[in-house]
Amino acid sequence: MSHGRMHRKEDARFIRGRGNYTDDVHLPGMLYGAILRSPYAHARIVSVDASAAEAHPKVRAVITGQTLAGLGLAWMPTLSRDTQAVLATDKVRFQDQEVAFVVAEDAYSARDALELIDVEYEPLDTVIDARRALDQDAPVIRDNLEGRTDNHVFDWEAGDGERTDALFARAEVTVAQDMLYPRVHPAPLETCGAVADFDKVTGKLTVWCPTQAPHAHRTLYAMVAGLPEHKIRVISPDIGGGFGGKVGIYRGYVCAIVGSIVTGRPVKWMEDRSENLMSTSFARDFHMRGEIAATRDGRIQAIRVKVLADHGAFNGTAQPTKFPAGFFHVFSGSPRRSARARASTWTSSASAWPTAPSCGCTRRARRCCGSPARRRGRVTRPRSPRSSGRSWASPPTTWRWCTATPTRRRSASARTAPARPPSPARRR
Amino acid sequence: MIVARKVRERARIVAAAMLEASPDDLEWTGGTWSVVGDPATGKTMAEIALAAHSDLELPEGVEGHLDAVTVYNPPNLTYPFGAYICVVDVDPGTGQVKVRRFVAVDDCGVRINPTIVEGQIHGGLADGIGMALMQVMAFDEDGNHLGASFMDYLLPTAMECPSWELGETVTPSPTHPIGAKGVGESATVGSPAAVVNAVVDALAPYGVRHADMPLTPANVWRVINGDPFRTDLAIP
Repeated sequence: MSHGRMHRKEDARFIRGRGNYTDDVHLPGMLYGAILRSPYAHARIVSVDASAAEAHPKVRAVITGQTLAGLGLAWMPTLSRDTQAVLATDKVRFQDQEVAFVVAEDAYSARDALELIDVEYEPLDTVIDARRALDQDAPVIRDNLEGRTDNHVFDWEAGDGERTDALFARAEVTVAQDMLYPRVHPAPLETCGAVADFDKVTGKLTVWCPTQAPHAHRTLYAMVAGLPEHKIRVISPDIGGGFGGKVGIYRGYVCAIVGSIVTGRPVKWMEDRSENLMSTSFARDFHMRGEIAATRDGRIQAIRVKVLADHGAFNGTAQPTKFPAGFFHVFSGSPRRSARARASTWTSSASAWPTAPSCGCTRRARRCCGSPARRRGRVTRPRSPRSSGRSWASPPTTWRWCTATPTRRRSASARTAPARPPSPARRR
Repeated sequence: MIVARKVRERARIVAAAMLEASPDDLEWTGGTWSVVGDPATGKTMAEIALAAHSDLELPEGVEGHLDAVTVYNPPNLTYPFGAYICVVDVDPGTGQVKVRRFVAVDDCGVRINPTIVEGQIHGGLADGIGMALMQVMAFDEDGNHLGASFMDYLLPTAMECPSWELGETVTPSPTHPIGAKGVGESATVGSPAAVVNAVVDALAPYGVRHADMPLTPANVWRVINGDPFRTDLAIP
């Protein structure tokens, strides 16, 4: 049963180029921001000299980590009870990490002025492989945290481990697979950005931002700007895709707000594609080991998974809101399954916001489920859920095809025509 | 939707005043509140809204507005599920993988707007092909980012996607007011696994039991030749 097919109301303006995105926001007196980013993945900051940039005739402000530290704003919370650097103070922890923010009359001058900022770095050893990040001699990324001597974030376990291990010990067939779920990126067509407008007269802050979580943003801005929430308005206009990547609060947003407070004018910051791919949240990056215990005729009795997750330089998983559902809980709801996750984080890569942690485990289960049947050389029918002893209170299922026209058989010539040349070999 | 029902109940009270009947004698038919058994007396929401804010005489103590607020705390999660099948062609000489067919059957409970549901699934399936065949954010030993532009980090386009074949089953969620479930992430969950499983199946004659994403032509070619890029995957 389904209801009516209706066209979306917003499509007409999107198709005709009349959408209202954050970059379409133009306010009187608006300034433009640009971010100076670190070329090193892990390096100590020896000095930052912004005097030449400040002297640029079109520059109105230059904000550095030291400026923010003086205001108590150099670090801000993430969604996962970690903190992240707004602008680097002691050292940089991933390539392209934000080091300084320039506010100028136009976007081009802001970019030009970046080259006038002189930063002296002292490169440090990097660690980019999550499996090496827990070695004794691995460089400690988050040594800014009190008492931190390693790169381990947390261990997490769900399900009945003992019962699962017992089932594995006496299973007729067990299969295991190590696999890698590579790091990927949401890469929405519209990059991230914000327009911040702090009105000195009313004491109100307005932020235009393509955010998937405007209320969470308002709460954090209230903490960061020291304003009560009712004095902050977050406007999320048309968004060109988010896919999880626009849930979090990026450093550029806070810099734009500070820029607006400091200059008394609206400040716009929009990132380019490289900044989006290098410094905004990524997804996945799991090293996984999945195991199945089954009977000889292919009935799965237990599943066990172990995951090592790289969370990047700062832990920003969207996990608190998804915690009951995500991170293997759905997968391991039955007592016969157990899942263990270890997050080794803080490798010298960009801050991690696994966009959908719940998805990773189910993918792994599907990959594992292929193995027992294949080992026997034929596909076995999976056990019906009704015979597993669970009661199914839901109404019966109806079934039909959605696609109006089935796939046309392609001609032989169409099948052999290449769509795109193969991509070059990728260095690992 | 829950709050819309509350608004409709407020409208019932106003309609009762308009029709000079008791609210219990009204029924909701054809988008109007009308006296039971007499649909010609029906008042539309537009008429009721106008009357509510005009000079209609309402009973003692009844406020003339159609506003309602509700706070919804879901009693449970919803559990969409499905089954995906992928058919691929692999060129053993170049390692290129092409997705010939993709059949996706999703159960997301009651579908409010099938157009949007199918759009979500299409997008997720394309995303899955991207993850399975093209995408990785890689770093070198010095931490240099190797996927910082669309030259290296590829996005799937219509050229890489087959004509999606979608089916549906509808198992209404017992814990949702109309039985709907989420569907936004379902397709990204199932599609990479289906694509990878299909490629591994295609490479079975070469003795391949497993291959890691992304299955770029270079990776597939190396897997075929028994020399995958990464062999040291075990978690310490």
